[in-house]
Amino acid sequence: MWTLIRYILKKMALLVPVLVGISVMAFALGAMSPGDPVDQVLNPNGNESYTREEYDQMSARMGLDKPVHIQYINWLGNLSQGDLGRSFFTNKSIVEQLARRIPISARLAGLSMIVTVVLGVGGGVAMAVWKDRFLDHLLGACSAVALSVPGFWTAIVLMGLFAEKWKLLPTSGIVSGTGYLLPAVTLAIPSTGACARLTRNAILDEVGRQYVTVAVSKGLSRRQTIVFHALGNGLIPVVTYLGTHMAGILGGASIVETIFAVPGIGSYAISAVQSKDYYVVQAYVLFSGLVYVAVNILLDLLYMAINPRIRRGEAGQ
Amino acid sequence: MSRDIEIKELNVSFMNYGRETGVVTDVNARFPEGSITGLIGESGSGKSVLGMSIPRLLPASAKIRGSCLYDGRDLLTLSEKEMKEVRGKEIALIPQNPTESLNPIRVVGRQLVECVTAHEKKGKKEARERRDLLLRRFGFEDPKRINGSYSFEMSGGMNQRVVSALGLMNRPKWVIADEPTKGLDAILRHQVYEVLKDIGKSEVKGMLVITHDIILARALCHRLMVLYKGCVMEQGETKAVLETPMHPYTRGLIGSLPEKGMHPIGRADREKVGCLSGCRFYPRCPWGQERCGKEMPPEARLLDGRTVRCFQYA
Amino acid sequence: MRKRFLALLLACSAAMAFTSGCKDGSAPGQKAAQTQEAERGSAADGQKTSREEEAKGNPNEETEVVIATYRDAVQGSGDAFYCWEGTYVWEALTTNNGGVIEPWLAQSWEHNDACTEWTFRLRDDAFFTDGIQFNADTCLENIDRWTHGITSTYTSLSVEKSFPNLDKMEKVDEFTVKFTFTQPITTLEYVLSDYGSPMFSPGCFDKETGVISDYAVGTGPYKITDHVDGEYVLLERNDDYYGEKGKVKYFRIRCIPDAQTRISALKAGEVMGLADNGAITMAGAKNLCDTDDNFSMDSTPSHMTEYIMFNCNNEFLADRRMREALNLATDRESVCGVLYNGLLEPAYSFLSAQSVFHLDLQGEYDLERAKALAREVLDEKGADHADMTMIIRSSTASDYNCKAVAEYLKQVYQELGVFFSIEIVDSSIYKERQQEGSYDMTLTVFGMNNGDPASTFKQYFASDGNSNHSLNYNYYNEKIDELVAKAPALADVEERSRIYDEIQTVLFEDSACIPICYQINVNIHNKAIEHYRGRTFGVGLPTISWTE
Repeated sequence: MWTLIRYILKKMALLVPVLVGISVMAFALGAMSPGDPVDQVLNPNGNESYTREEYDQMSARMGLDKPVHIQYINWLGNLSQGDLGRSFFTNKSIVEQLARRIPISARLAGLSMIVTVVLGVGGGVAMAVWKDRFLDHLLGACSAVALSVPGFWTAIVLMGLFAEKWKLLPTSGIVSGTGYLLPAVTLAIPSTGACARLTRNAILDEVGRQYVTVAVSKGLSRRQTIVFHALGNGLIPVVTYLGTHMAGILGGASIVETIFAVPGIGSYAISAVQSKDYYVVQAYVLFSGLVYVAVNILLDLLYMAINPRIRRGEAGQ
Repeated sequence: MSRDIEIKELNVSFMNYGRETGVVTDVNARFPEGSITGLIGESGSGKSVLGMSIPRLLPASAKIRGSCLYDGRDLLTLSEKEMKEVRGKEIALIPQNPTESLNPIRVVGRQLVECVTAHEKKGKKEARERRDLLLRRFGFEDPKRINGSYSFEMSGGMNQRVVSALGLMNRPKWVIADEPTKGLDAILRHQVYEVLKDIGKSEVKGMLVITHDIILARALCHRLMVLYKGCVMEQGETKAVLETPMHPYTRGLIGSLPEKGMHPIGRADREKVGCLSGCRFYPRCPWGQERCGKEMPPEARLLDGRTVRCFQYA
Repeated sequence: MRKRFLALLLACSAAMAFTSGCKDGSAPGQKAAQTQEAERGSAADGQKTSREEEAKGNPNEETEVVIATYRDAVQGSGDAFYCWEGTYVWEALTTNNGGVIEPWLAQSWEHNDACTEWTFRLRDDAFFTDGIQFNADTCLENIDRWTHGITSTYTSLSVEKSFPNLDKMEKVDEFTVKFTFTQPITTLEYVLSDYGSPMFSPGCFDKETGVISDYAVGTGPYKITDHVDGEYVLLERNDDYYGEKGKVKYFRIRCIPDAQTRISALKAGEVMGLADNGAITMAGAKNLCDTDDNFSMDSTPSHMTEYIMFNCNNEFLADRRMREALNLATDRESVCGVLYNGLLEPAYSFLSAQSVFHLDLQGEYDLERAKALAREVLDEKGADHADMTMIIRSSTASDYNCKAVAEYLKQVYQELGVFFSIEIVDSSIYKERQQEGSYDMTLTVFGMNNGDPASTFKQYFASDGNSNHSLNYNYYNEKIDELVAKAPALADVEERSRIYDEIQTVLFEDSACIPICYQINVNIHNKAIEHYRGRTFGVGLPTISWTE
């Protein structure tokens, strides 16, 4: 028990260097990229003029008149007090915005993951069990298509069918809980395709192994050997893929969120990057880093649950 | 119904990128009930493939022709569902590479019980009892500990014994033991021999032992089948085959044993290689005639009951 | 076994934490959504509601009208204006209605001959929805609020901008305020219009910081009852409004950022209309109305115009003849007729047709003369052709049909020996390029800040003009400088109008820029609602009603 906790704590200690690293990078990249947030604030429409004094004043107010490394240190100082700052343009507190938006993106990601895992792993198992039969070919073709279609196309088609034509689901927004369905499915489709193929291949790799032959020799059917034996061993690459995918969509699926008007963290980040809202981008980068480390820890825990070799060690007790 | 296993004209080949490679050719054999038969030969002789083709455990790329009769049915014509009933219950496997043969992420105990539950859902309790009994039989004093262990936590020898127990869980009529002593040291080899002898006497109706360990074969088996490159060169009673080998290959094999002086069999004569229609041993045979290169010698039946595939006796 | 179970449990519970509570968080909107769901059924039948049921089942009283915009109509506490003017929540002293300045919260105004003292007579019957009366005190408190320097995503708000060179402001009596300036100002009512002087109840903003913490409270025909950030705002009719009350009691303005999704929502019947500039492209609107009988399109003149602006530092563009050549080579009739489906008017004069000061000049399309002029300039410089770059902001390109226009012009100008490459860049890079001056031409769409053109002319074409420098138009014309300096001093509108005519003529003859077409605001709506008309900002919410 304690080894488990110690292990988790050790992994969490990774957080600090990761977060420092990515926040420094983000800050540096932000400073280097074109565009001037002070100008953006003073001149949002592009046709307002301002004087040099007004520029300097606003620059000082936004804290942008100081050199980059001082800005970073100030930001760190605020962070230690739990203050992520305010958006340059909307003046809204970033912490509040994140607190509102992260759960929304998380729900979207969670729902999407459920679809991916159930259909992806399930589909992969089906393809492996009925290998080279009609179902395998059919599902294989479907997953190839699912992998390849671009997200926005799927979004448009799904919206057109389910919302416009059949009026079963809302086109956009999350006022009603059902508003999560279409974007979640849109998000899930490419990864479901990938997961199905990966699962199929992972299982079939295992199927060639000796213990599967032995399982068959006991009198198990193909389906039973795949589900009870091959699947467990083949899961490791699948779990890895799912983990990194989860980390990716938790960071916000920007395009899907924008199309379906889901006010999550992805759309927040996109507009911040476009308008060079430094502090928002920093906060977002921080959040992403946290997500990745957390998902990594989760993955390790899952590996432990699946693979007894990691739990017990090689040499035996 | 006859519990003999009778193989007629068995041919196994593998499809590889559209090309067919013959691995087992024209095998005829009868394994009588109550006997232990050893399949011996070098690596690549096809003995494992032959052994595994009986319960149809070969990969999908294998093409099997011929017939394999057991209990009034041709096993090679049965459906997968029917085969499922045969495997583990009628004909069981004690696989080679014991550590590889166990699922590394499942505890051993459950894998043993699975042998029984694969055939009938109920009977878990009896299965557990039988499992513990067998484990004790095979020398494990504390079956509970073994049940909760994983294959990677146990030594090769322990896994070998577990795997042997695995084969016997369902009280099968026939057991095919694939390379039971491969990679084991002398002490373990003896252990395995003892166990197999015990099984052969009391538990099963018949046993096939696939091995390249001639010593084991001599001690354990009633009959021997000598394979070379997929063909049966000689088969008969163990004593006869080993003491008075008839086939040039068998002679060479015996001659290469340490106690006989380790005389190697000659290398293949390059000019003679490439004739697929003739005797497989022709390129290395000291006796080989031109006819041997062109025609496959028939299996000649000798007075003491064995068959030899050689033109010397045809 | 225990360890494995624990590890699995930890992993699962962590994953479950993410999918918790799909139904919370939108609870306030949930109920409203459910009522909306139920009522949407009756909304579709709304057309069948007969007059007899008006008293009880009047859809204007019970059913909310849902409108979609591309950004959140309420920007919130951090914004100087709190919400979009199109919500009809707050009002200003004056308003720009189609180029004409009309009284709003200021009933009338007058100024002295020197234009240094302005007196505004305020309405005496306007109340904020929290009960506080709008009067001189609240007016001055609001102006004081602008000194705190709160920024906005709409436009800037400051005393310097709305009251340039203000010396003092004082309350004369309960409904009269007077402003004194150190410099004369002739167009104060223009500068104060709409976003120039928003008035909020002092009860809703903090005296020290000027921040509106809760919902904004204004004097307008509608008030905010609910807002979910980034999703929607619920408006309810102000039944104590002093003017023409709204017909529909409830409005929901939903934020749908993606253009295609907005159209989908419209087609699915989830929203009844789209509002805000650029809510739908002209082509999209026309297409929808042509193919589907349920929708109707309304277009109002916009103050936005599509121009080609020059960087006159380019050696060829510095020469008037080259600019004129390009001007003559631009066949506006074709562009408007073909690329814009005849929906837009060709533009020759810098000021848009929506402005009262627009001078209706008529230019011509003469390719031969254009070629000759261009050849002249090229020969003098000893070049056989000119290479240039044209930059276009990516958002402009997608909202208006700019790319097609640019491609067309590229072909045409080639015949003059002018070869330019088209670069569509994103907003930050566009700004940077302009500020660096690393471009030769830009195809852009913009409009005037307020109804008065003087500041616009100065900004873009005077030698001390801010944008002329910062955006690197680098245009220099003595005559323009002279005229631009004259205009602000003239108190009389007639005289100013004549100056503006002159300026437009000079700009036209000098080909200072190439106006291509005057844009329109397209507002599309479902025929289930009527009287859906575009205004300068958004659509007129008070006139909208359910079709009977």
